[in-house]
Amino acid sequence: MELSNNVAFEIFSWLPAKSICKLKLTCESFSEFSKESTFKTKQAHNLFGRDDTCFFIQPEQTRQGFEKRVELHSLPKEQQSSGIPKNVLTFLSNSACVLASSNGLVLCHTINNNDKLELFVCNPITKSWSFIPTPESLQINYSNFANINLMLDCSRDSPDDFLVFLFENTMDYYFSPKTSYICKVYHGKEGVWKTMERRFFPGGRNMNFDMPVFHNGAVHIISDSGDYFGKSSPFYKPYIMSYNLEDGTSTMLELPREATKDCPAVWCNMGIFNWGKVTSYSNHRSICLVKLSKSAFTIWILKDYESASWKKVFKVRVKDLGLKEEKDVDVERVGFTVMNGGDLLVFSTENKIYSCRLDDERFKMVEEICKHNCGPNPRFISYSDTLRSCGINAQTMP
Amino acid sequence: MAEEKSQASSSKMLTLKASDGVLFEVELNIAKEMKTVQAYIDDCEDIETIPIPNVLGKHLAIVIEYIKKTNEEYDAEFEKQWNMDDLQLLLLAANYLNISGLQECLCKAIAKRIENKSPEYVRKVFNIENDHSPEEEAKLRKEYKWAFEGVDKD
Repeated sequence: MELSNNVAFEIFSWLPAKSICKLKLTCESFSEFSKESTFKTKQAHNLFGRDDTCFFIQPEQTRQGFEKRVELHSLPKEQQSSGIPKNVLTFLSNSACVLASSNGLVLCHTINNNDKLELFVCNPITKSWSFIPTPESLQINYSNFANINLMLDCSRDSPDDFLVFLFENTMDYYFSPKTSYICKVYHGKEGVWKTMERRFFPGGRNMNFDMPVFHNGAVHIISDSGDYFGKSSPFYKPYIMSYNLEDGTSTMLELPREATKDCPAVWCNMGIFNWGKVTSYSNHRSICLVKLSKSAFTIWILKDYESASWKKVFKVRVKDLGLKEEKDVDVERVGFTVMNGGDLLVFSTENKIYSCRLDDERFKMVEEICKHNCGPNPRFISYSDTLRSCGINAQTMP
Repeated sequence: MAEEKSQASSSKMLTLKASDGVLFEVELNIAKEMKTVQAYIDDCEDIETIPIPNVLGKHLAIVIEYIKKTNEEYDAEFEKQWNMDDLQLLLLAANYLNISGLQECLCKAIAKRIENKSPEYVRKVFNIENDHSPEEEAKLRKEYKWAFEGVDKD
């Protein structure tokens, strides 16, 4: 069975980047065509929207400066075909904080305390990176890295382009008492930051910018749930605020009543994530809410966007998960994320990371993925390896 | 009196003849999914039997079934039934007949099967010679050492 180069090109363009690198050894022509930019673009396009196979984990934002640690772990069953070169991971670990990842590109900022803060987008597999000019508001010397609200979005259709969103807090006395955020968008292809005309008004609460959900042309951010409003305030209960990326309108999206009945509270851990997948036959995307209370994980999905109606789809008590831990799980130190549109709930205790399948209500299959050293409440960023280009200005990483 | 129903074009039947002589009667709208066949029909309008010289009857049967049934679930189960040789022959058939949905499905399926395999396995499966020089091979092996973690035993 002879295989023409064209056919091999097509087949290989469906492989994850790690497999492609390994199979360069097959023969000269495979090694050659895998370097071509048409091939890389096709591969990134083919793998767009496919399940992520691994995730970065690092200490919470405020600790990253001291701890300097980034780990990458593969999901169960994906160890063979996913991963990045060790030296790249070490490099990132020592000098950067990973902020977001999309279609194989990773958005980071540098963490060398004495130098200026720099932003870059990189592809760990092709070892190329492209620096993004640091907007003025981030040019201050940072000693802790909280409040850097940056997000990355890659589109399927423009392979050379990517968008980075920055939400700058402005304590605007003119509009006070409401804080507002200026949204700046960086277009990878053009290489410039543009400011959105209308600001993002997140209401009165502090917002949790490190788990944005892109959906329906808007970015959705969940608020915190601290006790600093009176019952009569519209912001008494926590909520989601969405910011439309076309016209800049801010819209509040209510959370399910059951989720907020015990709020505001001193401690309440809620996160929103993408839910559902896009396939060539259907588009079932939505948003899910995960709440970790003192004793259980509960998940709701947004059934109808317009009417903000949610449906509870999953609940599991922490003690029923069967975790083999040395001491009782301290729920306040658990970090979590939902991966692949709701296939898996990935969460971390003090030392270990677990995954729990969400597709079957009865058999909650929990697997231990690995141990970690990222401390309490680590941040998760899911990743899948592609050969996507970093656009203009791409250079090789040291 | 017998009513003469004029045949709607969607229920017109065509005959496809595989390389080993096996004949298949298919509806026109199924045959049209094969762009090569569509081009043939466009060129010679009244043709009843179309020769498909590169595809065996056994594979043409599978291709036709795919076109009739394709949907999300079917795709997912489809590729599991065939061995690697059949998958490759089906891909060649799909390329010749120019059926983009099937081409994609088969490429993905073959990719899935070789994802975790070694270069040696891939060479064997696709009958390719290793034309790297020993220095090149050593260089590549060193550069991509990380990619070899967890390769399936052949």
